[in-house]
Amino acid sequence: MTIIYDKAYFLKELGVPDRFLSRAMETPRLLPGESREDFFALFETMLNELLPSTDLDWFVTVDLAWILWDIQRFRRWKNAIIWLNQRAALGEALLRTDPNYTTVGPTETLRKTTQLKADALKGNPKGDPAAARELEEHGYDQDALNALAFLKAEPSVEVIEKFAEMARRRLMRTLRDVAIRREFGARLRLIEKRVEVERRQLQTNQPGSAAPTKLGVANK
Amino acid sequence: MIISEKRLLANRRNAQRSTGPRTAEGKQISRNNALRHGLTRRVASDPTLSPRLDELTAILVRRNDARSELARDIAECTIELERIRDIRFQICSELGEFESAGLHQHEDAMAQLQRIERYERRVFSRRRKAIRTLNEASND
Repeated sequence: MTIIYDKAYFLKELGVPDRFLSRAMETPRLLPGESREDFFALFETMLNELLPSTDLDWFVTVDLAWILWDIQRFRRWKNAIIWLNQRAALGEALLRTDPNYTTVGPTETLRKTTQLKADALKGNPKGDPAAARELEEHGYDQDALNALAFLKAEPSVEVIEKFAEMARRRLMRTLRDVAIRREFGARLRLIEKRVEVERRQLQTNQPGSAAPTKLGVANK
Repeated sequence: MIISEKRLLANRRNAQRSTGPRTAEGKQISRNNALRHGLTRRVASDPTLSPRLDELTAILVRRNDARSELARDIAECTIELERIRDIRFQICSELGEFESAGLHQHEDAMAQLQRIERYERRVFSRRRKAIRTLNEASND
């Protein structure tokens, strides 16, 4: 069933407080291939995970969904970089194994022709058996091509990984802060409860009040 | 390097002729010469962002009290983070479909993102600190 992420769904199903509605319904600006439904699904997951109750928690939950979205975007970017480098590696291997390469060298026309061949081969590996055989004969099997692509992609992947790592760190720090806040809040409530109990007991132990309780005696 | 009196006078004469851009278009371009991404500009000094600042502050504190200042600081940082996200989006959207862009375009985009990274780190830390302080103030 497709979920329609409208105002009613946010208020009734997700339990978003009215005052947070506009903030919760904001979405990042979308790149090709992204959808607001995917973002809201991510937000819903975050909501179910955190179960926000305080204003600060609600504020932070929205933020965490945005950070997660960034991380996903970096992952997509990294995959695209790997894909592009696999394509480039295949193109380069086809260029080097082309019989014309040794005689005329890497001319622009040859580069373009081999890149087109590489695109066709990447889309359909069995589409050009002659080219595939040629590659294998020159030692460019799948492992060699992957290694070549990896070497080409490595610097870019490293940079994107760094961006993703920074975002992950922000996510973890925010989550840790939420956990600490909750732990602290829970302890605070416990202490407040204890103080209240002791205060009541002290009141009952005042002269003229009922017989002292065990705690009251200990306090003396 | 010491230059001759003649050269000095010629330089001064030429400088008198360089009076900067004259057309409105030229002036507009030169106004933005030093502007790279605008991230150093404070949110509070931009009147167009005031409504957003008020909206976010009101989400965090319901009444005007001692915590309002902290909430405003958090709101300010949040808007700064949004601005950074906007710039990141601009950079990424210029690539179009990730798989269709050239590897050089990707490298350019990464270099641009690296330049704004430190702003994001700084603003995030500032906001984290403000959230902690606001939480402590709420518990008091």
